[in-house]
Formats: sequence, C-alpha cells, structure tokens
Amino acid sequence: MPKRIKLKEIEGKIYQIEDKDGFLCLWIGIEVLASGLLGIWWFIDYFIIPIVIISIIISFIIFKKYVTWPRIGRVRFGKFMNLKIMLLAIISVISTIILVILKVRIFPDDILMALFLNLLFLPLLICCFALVSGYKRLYIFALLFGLNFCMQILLFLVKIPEPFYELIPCVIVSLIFMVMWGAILYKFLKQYPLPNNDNK
Amino acid sequence: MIENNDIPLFSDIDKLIHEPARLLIMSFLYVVKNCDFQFLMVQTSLTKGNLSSHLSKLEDAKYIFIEKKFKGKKPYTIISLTDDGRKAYALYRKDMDKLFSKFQE
Repeated sequence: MPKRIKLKEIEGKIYQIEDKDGFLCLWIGIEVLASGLLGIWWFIDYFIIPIVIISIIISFIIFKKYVTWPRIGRVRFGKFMNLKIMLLAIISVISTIILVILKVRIFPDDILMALFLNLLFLPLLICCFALVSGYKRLYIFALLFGLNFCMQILLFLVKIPEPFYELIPCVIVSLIFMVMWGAILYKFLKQYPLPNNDNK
Repeated sequence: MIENNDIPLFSDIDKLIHEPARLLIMSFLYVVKNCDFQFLMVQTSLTKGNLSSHLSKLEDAKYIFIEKKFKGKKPYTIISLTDDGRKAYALYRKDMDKLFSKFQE
C-alpha cells in the first residue's frame, strides 16, 4: 500500500504498468536494428518493412493476451490519459515534419548535419514523452538514442565508410535494448506469477 | 470542537472513501476508464477476498459499476467508476484539501 496518493503519479504508474513486460524495449530495439540494417538491405526494404511490422504487432498482441494480461490484469486509459497520448502523437508528427524539412530542404546532402539533427531531435522528443507521461524508463531510452547518434557522428568523423558508421552503433544500441528487455521480462515473470484463477 | 462553517467537519468527510484501501481503489479508478479485477488486485496488493469486500461496499454506495462477464469458462470482472463515484471522489479531495489548509494555518 503506498504511503501517499498522487493522481499524476498513478497515471505515470499506469503507463508504466502497460509496459511492465518491457515490450516497448523490444519494439524500439528492433526498430533501431532495422534502421541500421536498411543501409545494407536497401534492395528488399519494401518487402521486409511491412512483414516485420505486421509480425511484431501480431506477436505483441499474442504476448499481451497470454503472458501479460493474465498476470497483471488489463486497464483502459481514462480520458485525460488518452488526451496526453494524442498530444504526444501530435508533437511527434510535428517534430518529424520539422526534422524532415531541415534534413531535406535546408541541409540537403549534409550527412553530418543530419546526424546532429537526429541527436538533437529524437532524444529530446523521447524526454518530452517521459515528462508528459511520467513514465521514467523513457529517459533511459532517450539516453540510448543519444548514445546511438553520438557513436554515429564519431564513426562518421573518423571516416568509417557507409553504411558501417550507421550500422555498428545501431547494432550495439539495439543489443542493449534487447538485453534490457530480457532483464525486464525475467523480472516481470518472476514478480508476477500466473494466478490460479485468472480473475474473480 | 471545530465550529468554523468554512471547513468540513471530520464527520462530513466521506468515510466510505476515507478508508485507505478504498481510497486507493477509487484513485486508480478515477484516472482510468475501467480495469479488471486482477489489475486492481495487483496494484492495491489486496487479497482477493479483501478486494471483493471493498468493491462490494463501493458498489452498494453506487460509486462503482461492476460488470461480470465470462472469458471462455473463466469469470471476468470489469470495474469502472460511476458518475456519482467520480463526484464523490472529487468532493472528498476538496474536503480534505480544505481541512488540511486549515490545519496548516
């Protein structure tokens, strides 16, 4: 039983509960890995992307249904919680548009500037998500994204050829995400065993 | 005995919500649309029997709505806060705020 009750903290806790199994870690890990692999698999991009996305979504639903929800139950977000998600979605769409305009229109063909813009925008956007939702694990995600882009800039500056300056950091960071997911999932399964009867 | 009419008396505070376990249940239900029994049990760390008893009291007061369904052969309970429950919780918070603001002076 908590010693004090704060509604904002409860909201943050609920967002956190939804990701108690760490599936977001896996999702982001795969995304980071995919973004790195695009550089060498450009010729099969169009076939692979939808297949990967659909299979991840299907596995996500199956996983939630048979592993997560029977253990910690299911919750539907309230009106304000959904509004916050909408607000975050709008912010991310706007920042993506700004990022694309900056990269394509204002600094075309400037790879270093594109990497700096990634370093500025994406970790900041994730921090914004963490601040609004109160889900503190997102700060670690922002840090890992920052690490990814810092490594990319560093490898680009030491003249590592394309696509390796992008691929190596993406593989390293996605591995960190996967290990994190494994640890979170192990902790989750240990902390929340399956109840005898699924519900009342 | 406090006689100032601006602040609620202890007897005016909603005792049904004031109980710590029920206050926690109401707080969770206040921020969500609905949740299932398992969710509340895990979050409040109450036992099945204890949670059932608190939910029954809240349901009797019409503060919450309990919907019982079946998922396959297993019973499945969904709980949500009613409009009355939402109003009662908001009023409880207001009363407590008033009470504590007077204490601080």
